[in-house]
Amino acid sequence: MRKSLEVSVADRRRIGDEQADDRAAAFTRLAERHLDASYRLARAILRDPGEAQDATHDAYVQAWRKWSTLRDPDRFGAWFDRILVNTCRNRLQRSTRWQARDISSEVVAAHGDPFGQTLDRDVIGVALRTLSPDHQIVVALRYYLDLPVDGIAARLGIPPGTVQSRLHYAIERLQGAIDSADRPGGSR
Amino acid sequence: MTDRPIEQQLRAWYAVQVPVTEGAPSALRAGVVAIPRDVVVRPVQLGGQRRLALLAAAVLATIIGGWLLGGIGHQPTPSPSPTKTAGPTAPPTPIDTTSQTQQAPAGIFAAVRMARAVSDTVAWAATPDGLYRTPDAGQTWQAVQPLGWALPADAAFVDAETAYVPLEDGVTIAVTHDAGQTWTSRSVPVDAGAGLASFSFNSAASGYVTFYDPAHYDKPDGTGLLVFGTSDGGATWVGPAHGLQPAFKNKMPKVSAAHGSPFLVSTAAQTEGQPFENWFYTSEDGGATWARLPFPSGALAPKNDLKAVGAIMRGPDGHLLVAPDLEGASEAQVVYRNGDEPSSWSELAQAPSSSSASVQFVSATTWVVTTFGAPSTIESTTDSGTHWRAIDSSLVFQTRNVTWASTETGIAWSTCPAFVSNSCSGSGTGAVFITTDGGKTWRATR
Repeated sequence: MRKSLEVSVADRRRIGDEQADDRAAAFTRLAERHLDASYRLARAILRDPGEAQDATHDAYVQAWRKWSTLRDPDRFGAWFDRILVNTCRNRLQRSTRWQARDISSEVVAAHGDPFGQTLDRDVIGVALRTLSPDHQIVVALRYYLDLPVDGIAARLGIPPGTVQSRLHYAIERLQGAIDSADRPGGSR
Repeated sequence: MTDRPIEQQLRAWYAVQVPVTEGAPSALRAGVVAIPRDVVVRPVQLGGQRRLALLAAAVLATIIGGWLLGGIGHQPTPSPSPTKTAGPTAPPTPIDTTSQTQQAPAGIFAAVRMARAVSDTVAWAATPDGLYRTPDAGQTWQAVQPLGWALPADAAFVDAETAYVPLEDGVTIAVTHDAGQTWTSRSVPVDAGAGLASFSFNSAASGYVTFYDPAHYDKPDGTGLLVFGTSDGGATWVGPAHGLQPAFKNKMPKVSAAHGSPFLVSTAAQTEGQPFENWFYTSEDGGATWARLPFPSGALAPKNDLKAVGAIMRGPDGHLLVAPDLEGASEAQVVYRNGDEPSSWSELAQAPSSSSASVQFVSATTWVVTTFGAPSTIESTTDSGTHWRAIDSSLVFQTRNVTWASTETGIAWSTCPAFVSNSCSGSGTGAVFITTDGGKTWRATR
């Protein structure tokens, strides 16, 4: 009886080790599978490769710490995207006043630029910087990931109406920024 | 429903900027795969006590009603309200009292994100994996993070013994008053979606934590803020007071604070061809009320040029001192003193160099100026700019990642190994540097 108990303890310890190994392996497997898409989403939101790398790494660290709260591995993508979006939001919010300088310095002068489409993209990049972090996020989820409003709401944990509202005001503001750039004396 | 032209432009912009063929950099991939091996997951022991704290805070907020600041309105006010004391003390519910102090291993600062020197020997540094403190100017470091640590958007490293950090749920504020040996935590009643804006502290016992209000974000009248105050060292937080960060036409939707400072600041961005909105807002009560002040203008600070508040503090006579960041014809570092009329400024002092630089007010009379570019110099004064000392720095600075505890002791951090710049952000080869001789020599640590 005692022997069987010892076996049982040893077995439980081995099972525990195996579970820990399995846990790490499962995390690594899912992380690797989603890494490229995660990085691209961070790039779309933050628009800076270095910031996106840091945010993606930090989000995966958080995901590993919260791993025990993921009940269904099939939902890893949505679960992790929420962590990643929150990480990106924090980085946008704590970005330094240097961004204020960047806004003006990155506007491309229009003199003789024959590549109107390229210029339009630059104007959009500059205009995106004028949005609040939450507005930047819904715009990226809608127009980069092509998520529907309900999908964005689910990812962010907010009502669909709030998503609609944020998209509406974000587009309005972007349009205003682009129109302003188009006017004489504007940035293009 | 057909996309509008701007929506089509956005889709095209993203497709070009972030092509679907773009993969994660190999360094990031290696770092992520190593996470289960490198990151020790500790059990978070917050559950029941956190709920208790939330309940206590909610009851407290209800009882106190008008709360500690009194008369907090949604409109910017001409001058900041004085700090008032917090309400009744909540029942003691200390948690996280486990000492986690341990010698930190080498390489801890590969992903360093923030650091602050608070005395001639003590500094704090934060990474995604932990919070570290040195008691001996970087000779040794101890991991002192509380349970539930997650890299914060902001933290308050107030002095050698005191630090306030949010935990990973974003709504629990942990504080240590014994150099990280023990931590206590309190949850504040905000939604987890409320973004942490900033800490602002007058002293180790008294200050504010400010959240963005997700229900009133970036509205035409400004961004809503949820402000909680403590006057007992984080044992109780009272609030929220509903502050309003005033709106600019060209708005930077954020507030910024100098670490260890009681001031929050809000300034405008600038669009090419548009005049700069030549004023800023500042708050000394966590953003519950704001004072609008014009930026100093003059030959060295042209009115329509982009400016930010590089440093702000009250001088010995109680008047505000401001060192504007300038982006224009001149980048000379000038310190201005606010007059009896809020709109009046006088030039108090000018730093010796005329290069772009970062100004830090160590005290009302002791200031340190760190110039950018090669060679960098460290200029300091202990008499409000009457006399200056200039030292050639052994480090070349490109960013503001440097803080000073005195004219002698400073800490700088970088995501690059030997250059204080963010250009290799994400490479995981960061480092922390400390000087104790005014910047003449910097020692890489850990």
